[in-house]
Amino acid sequence: MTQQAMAVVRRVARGGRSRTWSADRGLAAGALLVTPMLVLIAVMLLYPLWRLSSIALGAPHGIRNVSDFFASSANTRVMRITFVDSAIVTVICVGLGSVVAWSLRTTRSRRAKALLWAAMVLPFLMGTVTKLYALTVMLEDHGVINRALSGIGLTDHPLSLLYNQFAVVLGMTYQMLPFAVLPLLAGFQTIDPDLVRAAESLGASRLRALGSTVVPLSVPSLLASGTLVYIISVGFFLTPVLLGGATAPFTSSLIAQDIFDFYDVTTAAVSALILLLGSLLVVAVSWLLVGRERLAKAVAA
Amino acid sequence: MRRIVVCIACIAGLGVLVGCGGSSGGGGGSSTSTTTAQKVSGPVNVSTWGGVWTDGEQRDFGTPFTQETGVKVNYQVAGTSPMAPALLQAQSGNVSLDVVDAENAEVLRARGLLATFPPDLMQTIQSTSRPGTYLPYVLNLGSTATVIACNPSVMKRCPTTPQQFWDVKDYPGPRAILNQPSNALYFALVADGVAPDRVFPMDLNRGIKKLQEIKPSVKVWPSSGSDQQQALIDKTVGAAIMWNGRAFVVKRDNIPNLQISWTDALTSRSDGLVVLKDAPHKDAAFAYIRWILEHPRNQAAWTQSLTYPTPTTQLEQLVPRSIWEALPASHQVVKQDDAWLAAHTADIQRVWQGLLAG
Repeated sequence: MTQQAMAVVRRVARGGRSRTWSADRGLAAGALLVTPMLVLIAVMLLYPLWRLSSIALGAPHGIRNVSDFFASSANTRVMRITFVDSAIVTVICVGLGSVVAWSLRTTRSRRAKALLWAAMVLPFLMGTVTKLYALTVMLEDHGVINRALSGIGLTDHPLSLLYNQFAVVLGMTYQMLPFAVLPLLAGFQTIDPDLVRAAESLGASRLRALGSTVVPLSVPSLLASGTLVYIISVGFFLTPVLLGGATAPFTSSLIAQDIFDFYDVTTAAVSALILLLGSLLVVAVSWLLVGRERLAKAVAA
Repeated sequence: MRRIVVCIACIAGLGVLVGCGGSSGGGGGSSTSTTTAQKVSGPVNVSTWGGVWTDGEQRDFGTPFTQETGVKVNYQVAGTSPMAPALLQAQSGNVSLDVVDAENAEVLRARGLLATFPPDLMQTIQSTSRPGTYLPYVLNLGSTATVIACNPSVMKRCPTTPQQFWDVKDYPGPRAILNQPSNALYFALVADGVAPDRVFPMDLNRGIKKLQEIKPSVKVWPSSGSDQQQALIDKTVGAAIMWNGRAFVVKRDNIPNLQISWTDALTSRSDGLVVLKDAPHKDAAFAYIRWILEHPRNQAAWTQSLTYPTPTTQLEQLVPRSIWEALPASHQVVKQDDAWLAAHTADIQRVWQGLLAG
C-alpha cells in the first residue's frame, strides 16, 4: 500500500472524513434512494396481498372459510389435479428440456442449432389463444390427428383427445418447454462437454458417461428450472379452460367460475391464497436445496 | 440502525396509504359533458357481454345516442359476466358503473343495488314496449331462450324434447349442454318428468342425478356463445342445449338443415338493462334507456344482427319474418323463477361444481 493510501486508512479508521471521494453517501441518502422501490413493492405487492387475505379470511366465516373450502370435494379434487398435473408437466418439460438444452450446448451443426432455437422461440411469437385453438383443431374428434388415424385405418372410432387431462398436459407442456430449456441452457453453459469425452475414453458408454458426469453437475439447474416451470404451471388459466373444458378444470378455472357465474368472491380468494402458498412452499424448498443464486440465475434466464 | 428501520417503516406506511387512497379516488373516469338538449352529465358506463353483442350495442345504440345528445357511452367488458363487476364494485364501495346488461337482475335487487325506473321513464317503457318485457327495475334487452338444436347429419334421430335429449338409447350421439346451471338443471328436471311450470322451486339433487345419467354422453359443456356454436360447427356434438340466438346463427351460416326445437324452451324475465342505485351518472343512464325506447328502428337493427329480442312493440313489423320466428317472443317459452335462482346461488354452486369438477 502506498503512503497516501495508508494515511487515508488511518484517518478513516479514526472516524474522520477522508479527502478522497467515496461512494458511501450515508444512511439517509441510501434510504431515500430505495424509497421508490419500497413504495412500488408496498403498492403493487403488499397491498394486493393484504386485500386478498382480508377477502379470503373475512366475510362470511373468517378463518373457517378455509376449512369450508376443503369441505367441498370439488375444490379438493381440482386443487389436487392442479398440483399433480403441474408436477407431471414439470417432469416432462425438465426431461425433454434438458435433452434439447444439452443438444443446443454441444451440437456443432449450425443448422441444428438454428432449428432448435427456432422451435424454442417461435411459440413466444404466437398468441396463447391462437396456439390453443391450433391444438384444438388438431385434437378434436374430427380434427387433424383423428382424421389421419382413421384415414390410415388405425382406428374406427375417433380417439377422445380433447376436453380431458391429456389435452391439458399436452398443451401446457408445449407452452412450458421453452421456459424449461432456457434456464437449463444457462446452467449447462457452465458444464464442460469434454467431461463426457473423458468418461468415454475411460470406457463408459455414452449414456453412462452423461449420467455420471453431466447429470450430477446439472442437478441444481434441473431443480431451479423445474421450480420455475412448476410455479408458472400452477397458475395456468387459458389452457385448462380451452383444452380441458368443464370436466378437467384447474383451480384457476374454478376461480373464474366462482366470480363470474356464482358471484362468490370469498371462495375465489381462498383458492388464490392456497395456490400462492403452495407455490411459495415449492420455491422455499427449492431455495433450501439449490441456493438463492442459482435460483435467481434460472429465473433471470 | 434504528433510524433506518423507522425511516423505512414510515415510507412503507405512506406507500400503503397511497395505494388505499388511489383505489378509491381513481375509479370511473367521469368527465362532465353537458349538452343543451339533455342537460345530463355523462358519460354512461355500461357493463356488457363483449363480442358481437357489444359491437352491435355500440353501433345501434351508443354511437347514435352520443351523436344526438353529446353524452359519451363507455362499454366495459370484464370477464364472462356483466354483473360481476357491479357486485364487486358495490362490495368495495366504489361504484363507477351506471348501466348493467344484467343476466339476472334479481341477484342485484336482492342486495339492494338497483334503482327503480322513475315514473316518466316507466310511462315511456309502458307505451313503447311489449307486455312482459319489463319490470320496475329491468328492461329486457336480448333475453335469450335456451333451446334444443340438432344436426341431422351427425345424429341418426334428432331429439326435440328434453326427454328425448336424455334418451341416449333411441337418440344416440354426442351432446353438448351449456355450462349454465339454471338452464341445465331445468332441462334435467323436465326430462325426469317434472311439468315445466312446476320446476321451481327446484329439487337440486334430483336434477343433478339426472345430469349424472347423461354426463358420459356430453362431450362439451360450453360456456360462451361462440363455444356453443363451435361445438356444433366442428361436428364435435350432434345435439346441443344452447342459446337460441347462437343456434340461429349456426343455422344461417354453417348448418342450413339444423333443427331447432322450442319445446319447453326456457327464458328469463330479469335479463336486461338495469341502472345501479349508486350509479354516478344516473340521469344520463335513464336518458340512454329512454333513447333506446324512442328509437324502435335501432332496436330492430340490433335484433336483426344478433337474433336477440328487443322490447319494442314494433319489432314484428320491423324485422324479417325469419328473424321474428327465431325470437323467443314468437314462441311459447317457460319463464324461470329468477328470484328463487338468485336466493339459492350458493346451493346451485355447490351441486354444480360437484357435478362437473367433483
